[in-house]
Amino acid sequence: MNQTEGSMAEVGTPSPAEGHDHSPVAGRPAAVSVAGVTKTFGSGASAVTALDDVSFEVPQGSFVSLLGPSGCGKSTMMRLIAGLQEPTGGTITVAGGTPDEQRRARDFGIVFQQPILFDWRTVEENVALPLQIMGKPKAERQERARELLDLVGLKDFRNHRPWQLSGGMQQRVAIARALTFAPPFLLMDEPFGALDMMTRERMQTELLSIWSRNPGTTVIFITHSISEAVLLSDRIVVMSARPGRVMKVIDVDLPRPRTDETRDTKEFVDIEAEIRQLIFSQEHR
Amino acid sequence: MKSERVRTVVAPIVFLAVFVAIWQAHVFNDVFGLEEFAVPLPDQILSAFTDDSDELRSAFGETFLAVGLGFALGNGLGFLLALGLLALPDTVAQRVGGILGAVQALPIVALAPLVALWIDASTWFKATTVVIMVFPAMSVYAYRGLTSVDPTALELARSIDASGWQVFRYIRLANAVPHVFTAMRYSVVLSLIGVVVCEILRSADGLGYHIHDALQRFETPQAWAAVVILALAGIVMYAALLVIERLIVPWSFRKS
Amino acid sequence: MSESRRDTLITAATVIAILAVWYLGAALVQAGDDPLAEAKLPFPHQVIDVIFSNTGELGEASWISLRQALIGFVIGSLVGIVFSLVMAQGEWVESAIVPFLLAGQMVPMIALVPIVQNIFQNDDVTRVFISAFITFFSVTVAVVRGLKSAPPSAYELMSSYNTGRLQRLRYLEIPAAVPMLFTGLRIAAPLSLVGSVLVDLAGAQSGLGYIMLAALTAGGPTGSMLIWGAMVILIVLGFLLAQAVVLSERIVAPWQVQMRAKGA
Repeated sequence: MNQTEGSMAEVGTPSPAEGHDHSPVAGRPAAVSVAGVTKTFGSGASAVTALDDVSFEVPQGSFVSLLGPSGCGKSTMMRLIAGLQEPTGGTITVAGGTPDEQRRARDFGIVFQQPILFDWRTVEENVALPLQIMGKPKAERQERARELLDLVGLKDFRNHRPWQLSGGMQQRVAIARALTFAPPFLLMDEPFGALDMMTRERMQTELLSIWSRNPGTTVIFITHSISEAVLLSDRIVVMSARPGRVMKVIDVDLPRPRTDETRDTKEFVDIEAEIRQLIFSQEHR
Repeated sequence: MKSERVRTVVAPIVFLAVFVAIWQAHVFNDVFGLEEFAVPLPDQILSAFTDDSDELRSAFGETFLAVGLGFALGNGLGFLLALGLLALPDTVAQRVGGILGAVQALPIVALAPLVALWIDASTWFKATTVVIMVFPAMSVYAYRGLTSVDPTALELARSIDASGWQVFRYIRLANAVPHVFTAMRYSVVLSLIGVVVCEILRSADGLGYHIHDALQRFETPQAWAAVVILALAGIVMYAALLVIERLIVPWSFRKS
Repeated sequence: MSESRRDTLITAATVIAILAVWYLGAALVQAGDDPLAEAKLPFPHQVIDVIFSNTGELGEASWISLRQALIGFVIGSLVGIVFSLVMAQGEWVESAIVPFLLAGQMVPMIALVPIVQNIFQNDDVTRVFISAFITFFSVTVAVVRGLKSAPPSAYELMSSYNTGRLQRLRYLEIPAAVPMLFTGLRIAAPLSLVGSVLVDLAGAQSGLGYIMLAALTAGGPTGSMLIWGAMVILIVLGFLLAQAVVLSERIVAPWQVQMRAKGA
């Protein structure tokens, strides 16, 4: 089975008017509020502080990145928001409730760095997994799964097995699966980290396209790539190395839709430089 | 996490204590309708260690002489064979390795009667059976260890003009150590099985014979005591190998 | 195509080489005066001759050993699977029992044979029990490992779907355990046959092991040769059992086989 990339043309480029809220991000209500959050692992002498007094807000329907070097606690932060772990101190509010409440209400679609697809299921069955767990009837599951596979451009691969697909394709399946039950939040932990540079850049523009077709979804995105964060996000929370602290919160005002050409614009390069300076100055303190 | 460590230690101890207590209270015998001559109580087994300890002790010696002999010779032979394979061209060595792997999967225990045809002397009969059971596994593992070296390491060695002996000693041998220990641990059980099969087959001496003999004399606790010794010995040998490996090559214990 | 042809040639050459060594060895051994020499290392054709001259006796004994081994294998597997599922329910339960499972694998099964025989006083039941015992350990250790083989992110995924423990078991842990289950079964299948034969060696009055034992003690050169016949059958049967397990994996979980072929 040759692992050809699914046709990118099927995904298409979004039209500017396509259901996307283009109001300034800062003016919207906060979907997620992180206030003074601290997270320590272990106790006593061997305690490790992953996060130290972290605060930021994620506006409704926006794309927010947590950017920082490895080990700065950003993955931990995502898990705290998702209700998978509890903070040691501070509070997190998600859509008016606690992260755990929203987790149980299945508010979060999560994509990890590894696709985590089940080998014993076909691509379509993998995408349908959350719906099956929620007890939806088979016909409904299938239809919805195919809809999403179409969205990510893998309609023709629905009866394939995960290992027959390339890394990029597998991640697209994982994204489709995360969106199956239309969660209000999409949480992504360095989803393109395991891919090569070229596939990665392709996936970035594709993610924007997919997101534009799911308007209203709030995306929280973890990365250590400055250019990736600038291209994708409305807001970037720049974090320092362990213990993780917020260095600065930057609102990225670049117009949407953003494409590959956006990477070459002056505004893009300026923002990139600003962030790089910020991180650089931190390291040389 | 601390509570996890506590649990790993406490849980089996509690389980064992409860199990032995239930057993001593005659519960298993009652529930399954078994006489004490079939399933003795723990205290009877314990007293078997003290009562007839002479017989048990000499049986232990006979068995473990053969176990030790077979274990040492079998593993030694296996390792030498792996070294020999190293000298052969790759394709041939691969084939031989494949054959050895297949041999290892066979029910070698069935060879015991065959070996009995060849060798009369009791201890050598047992030891030879063990050697036959043990050496294929060791040669396969050792060969794999000697050859599964990172090619980059070999390139590095070539680039600093290391001699063949240096390459062997510092790279291949070091790489092989964990594999060799794995094979040795695997051969502990095989050695015990091999020796006991021989003893039961030929009814000569050792713990295997002791089990058979004790049962004939209706001294069931003695037989159970012998089984306990065999089990404990196996565990001790296994643990000892783990400890020795950790002392020699502490770095191979990174969590993989 | 030349790669696989080369492989076939090498395999053929290997087989010929083995046969040649065997013939040579047998010739050397039988060149002397030893009356038992023929039985110690017969020529390959002598072994085949022995098997075909005694098909009735060997066949019957094989069937006895095999039948009990299969029953024991099935029982041991089922008990092992159920036991593993129960153990997976509680961390304390698992921590309590796993050390004993590992220790139990250290016990030489053969030592238990006389004791079990003493309890049941019945050859067939003893064979089934020993085979089941051996299979149980192999399967349980494999399934317990398999149930925990899913990566932590998979658990986080299930947590984000708010699954309960049973759902996690059903959708994640049990399917994840299937490959290891088959590995355990594949190892246990020939071993359960060995267990059955061990019972014979330890004094049962029938079966392949009994033939070996009888050939050894009663013997003479022709009688002793029967050992080889029985042994070859034992080895072939063991191999076929393992292949049967591999085949059933192909039926139950075809994707596993495909994955391995791909090197995934």
